[in-house]
Amino acid sequence: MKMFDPHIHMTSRTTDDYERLAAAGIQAVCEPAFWMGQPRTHVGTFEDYFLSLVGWEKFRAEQFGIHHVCTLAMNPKEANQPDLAKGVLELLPLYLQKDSVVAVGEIGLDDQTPAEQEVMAAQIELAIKFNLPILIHTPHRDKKEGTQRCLDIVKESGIAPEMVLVDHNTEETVQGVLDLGYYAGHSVYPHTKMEETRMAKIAKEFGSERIIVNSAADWGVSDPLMVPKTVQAMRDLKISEEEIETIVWKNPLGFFAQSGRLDVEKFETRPSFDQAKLFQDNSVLRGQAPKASGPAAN
Amino acid sequence: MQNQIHIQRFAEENVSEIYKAVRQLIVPGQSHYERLGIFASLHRAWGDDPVRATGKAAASWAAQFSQPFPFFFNKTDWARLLFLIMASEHDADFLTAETFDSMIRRGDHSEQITLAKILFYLPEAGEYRQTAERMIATNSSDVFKSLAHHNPYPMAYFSDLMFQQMVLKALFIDLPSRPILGLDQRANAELFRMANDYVREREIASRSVPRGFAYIESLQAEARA
Repeated sequence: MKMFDPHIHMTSRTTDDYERLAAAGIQAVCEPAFWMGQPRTHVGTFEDYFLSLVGWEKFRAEQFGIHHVCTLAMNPKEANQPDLAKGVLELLPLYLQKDSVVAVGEIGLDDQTPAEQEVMAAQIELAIKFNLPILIHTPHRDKKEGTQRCLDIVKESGIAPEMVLVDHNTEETVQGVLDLGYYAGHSVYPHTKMEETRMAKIAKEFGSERIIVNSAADWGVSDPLMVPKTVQAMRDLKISEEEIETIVWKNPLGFFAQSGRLDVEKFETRPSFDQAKLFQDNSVLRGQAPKASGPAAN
Repeated sequence: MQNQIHIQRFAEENVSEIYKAVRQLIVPGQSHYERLGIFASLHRAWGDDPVRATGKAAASWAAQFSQPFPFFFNKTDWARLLFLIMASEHDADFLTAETFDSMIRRGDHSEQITLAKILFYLPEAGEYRQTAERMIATNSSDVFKSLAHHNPYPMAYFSDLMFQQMVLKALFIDLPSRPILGLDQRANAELFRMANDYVREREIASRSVPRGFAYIESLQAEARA
């Protein structure tokens, strides 16, 4: 079965992970711009990060037969630094126009401050202007209240509901998100309450319409194989193959295709790759024999 | 701006769909970064199809320009060139040496290749010489090739030293040297010495002679005759 991990921070992962993802059936990933683990000190570091997401990281993914797209934004945590926020908001009209940018995100709230709310609203305006979907990060603390605040800001913006993916849902928030016509994303983490079996139960209860699953794997304790593992958990709960395929392939593909920048037909087959190729003279190899492949059969 | 007027006239007559679409993109009040974003997005809109000039179009180009028609421009290159020319007309402060430098740094591979190709036809093209000379150091052979091959810019603006370095790099990465415009005019004793030294180093190390050397050798022979 083809799978799309719509929220995974591959910049923080190794080439081993790319190999494991491809072997497990992941054919496409979307990498949202996010918090790097420590505060950035100036706007320029955002620029280099954005450039690496549309450049080197895309190349790296394709060298392992995986399509790579990304979402760009200032993350909620850093919106509280006024100079940074102003600078990044000025830059976004340039970077949101790059070919592989398929949404504005992650935007949303963290500490739920007024500054975070202003930056979130400004970024939704940009998404509307550039006809891009949005990826909403809901807070990990005070989740229910914070999610509601995010939804209020989204609603006030007037963006079309089908252009909204609200992430990090749980059983408590998913129904409210679906009722508003938004896509409901779920980040499945290992060794936490939100493991694959719990996600499978959510899928069993709420069905497949606008339900999305991701690993949100990053530099912390996380597992890039959470989408394939959730597929297995859903099979164990006797969810039909058609519904599973909708959740892990058709939904994320259809959501990001609304950007007009994702060629659905192209994504149906793996990108052919040749590891002898270079990106600005850089290779993913360290002396190993290059592997190459034509388009893989699904 | 005379060249840019001719380019717009040529585009209006021969690639009118691009000309009309780009003209509509010039809107008052656009921020600097919005303009750079539009420049980037034009690849999505126009793609990589080449633009040919035959018959009347070729004659029209030849009547205005001493340089050959840029057959290596694709539709995106034309759209981006027209956008920069029109944006500069609209806002004289937009396209400066600093802007050009920033576009190279912030541009993806496709943008850098376009900028290398269209550089010669931009307003005040000589102002971008320093950035263009630094582009020789690019790690991308595609960007380098766009600058070095069939491109009138280096011949017209590069210093002797940087022109020579460009020719040497072409040898170093084994590109042919005949497509370097103006090489026959700018080749001099210093360039011949550099090329000969490089080839000699390779021969001593039992490595092959770069394919671009034959043409330089022929120029050297002509110069001696």
